[in-house]
Amino acid sequence: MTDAIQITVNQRPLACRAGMSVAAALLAQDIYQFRTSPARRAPRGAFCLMGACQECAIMIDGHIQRACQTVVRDGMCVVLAGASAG
Amino acid sequence: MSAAPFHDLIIIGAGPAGANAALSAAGAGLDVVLVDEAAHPGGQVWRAPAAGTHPPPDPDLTRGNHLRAQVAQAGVALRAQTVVWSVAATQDGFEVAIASPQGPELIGTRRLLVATGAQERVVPFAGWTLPGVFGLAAATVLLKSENFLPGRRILVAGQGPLLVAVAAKALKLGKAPVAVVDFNGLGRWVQALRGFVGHLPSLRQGLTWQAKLALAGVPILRKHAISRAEANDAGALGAVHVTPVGGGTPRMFEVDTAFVGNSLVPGDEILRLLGARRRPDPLTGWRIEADDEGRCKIPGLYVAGDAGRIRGALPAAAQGTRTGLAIARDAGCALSAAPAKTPRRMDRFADASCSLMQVDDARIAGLADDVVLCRCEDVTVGAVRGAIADGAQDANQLKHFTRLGMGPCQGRMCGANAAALLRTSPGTKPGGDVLTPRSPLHPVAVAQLAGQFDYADIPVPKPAPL
Repeated sequence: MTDAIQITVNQRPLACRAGMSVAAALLAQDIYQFRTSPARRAPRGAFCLMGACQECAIMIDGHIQRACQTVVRDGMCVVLAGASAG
Repeated sequence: MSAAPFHDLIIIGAGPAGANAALSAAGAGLDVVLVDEAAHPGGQVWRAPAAGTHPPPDPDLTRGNHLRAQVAQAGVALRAQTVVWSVAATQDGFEVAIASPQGPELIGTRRLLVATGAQERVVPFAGWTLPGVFGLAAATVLLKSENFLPGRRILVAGQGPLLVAVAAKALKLGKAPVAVVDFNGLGRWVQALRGFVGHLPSLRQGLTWQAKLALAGVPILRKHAISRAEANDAGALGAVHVTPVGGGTPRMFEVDTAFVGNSLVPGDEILRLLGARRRPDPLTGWRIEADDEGRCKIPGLYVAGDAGRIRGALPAAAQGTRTGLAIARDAGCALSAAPAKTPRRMDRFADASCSLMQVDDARIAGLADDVVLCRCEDVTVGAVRGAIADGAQDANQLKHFTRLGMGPCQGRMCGANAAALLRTSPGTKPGGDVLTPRSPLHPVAVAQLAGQFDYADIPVPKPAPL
């Protein structure tokens, strides 16, 4: 793997390629569930991948950000939790 | 606060329409600011690959690379990775509120072109919110930017030209779909062929894809649709049930990944926030009221591409060029070249594509009560029916009653489907099927809005005389 970098997902290390989106990095490792919905606490993952649906908005480096619109950075800290719920 | 910087033209969206408009307007001498959420121009269809990704040659990639090179050379101020979260009309034009990695800013402009493209419309089914169910357009985004698709057992379902494209590209990546589930019958495709001959390279590409799928033995279920999806033990997608359109015995496919998409709808929130109106359109559902060169009825406001009417990338590019020139002419620039019209054959091609992506209201009206309609707030079809029975007469009242459209996507995923439910329910207000767009147009963190500032910079007004 060229330009391999490492991020942490729920405190576990995850190797990925520099330049890819957080969503792609998670999906490439078969991590499908990103968060739960606030109303029913139903499992949710990335859906539209183009920034519209907000389903992939999770805690990235301490802020809720859309995983599909955020590029991985070495040492990035990703927590699989959304706004106001898990 | 100091006066916002003022420009001749701000263009929101750097896809085929917006970026080409920027090129023609800047070429005519206007001072143009081009704003986009992505890091590079291209929009969704002509998007740039992620750094370090080398996707195989593709016409959309070639077009995108050409466009990006042109924008880089033209005198266009590109504001990439920038979210527009509010717009307002002012006395002499418009004020656009943006948030970027550099912080929040207000920028002013005499004229505003909205080229925000389209969003995908998915006909919901029970279980469509499970992790592992993705939009069909989502697959194209992953393919174009990352040359990658997730999943081991993939199913592709829905309508329109994207079905074949995604299935064929999955096959090429060594992930032959378990099945392709097409709502349309072969007859609809044959009808569409008459329009598809309007762009022969695309037609040839489509036929090649179909042939490769057939050779690989990928089953294509025509006149079928997903009726429901089931979770696996981990709570993600485990299986889908596929039923013939009009009823029949369902078939189950064990899959971990499904790409589903039915139609495209204009991303017209900014236009409507500024007062532009929707008009019914027989083929695409609706369009934004504008003249042939993209002028809306609001002075200084323009639209180009799918944000105004779903036509696809190539017509959007042509329309962008035309609208950019129209804006320059309206601004008083002397132009030598007359803007070219979109060739009729391109229109026929777009019509054919749209004819395969139609969603009748009756399909939404026929959904079961337990199907989630609004993903953000987990509002079901049954809850919407209950609210209508309780007296909700339009989309905004539905929002008040149920929270539908109140979540972070702001109705982008559910708006068209909720509108179909309203239109098919007796006692609702005609023409009241559209949610009123509101600022902030996208979720923005307060920290992002506050930005970096010094308390000494905050102006203190003079105390009132005693």
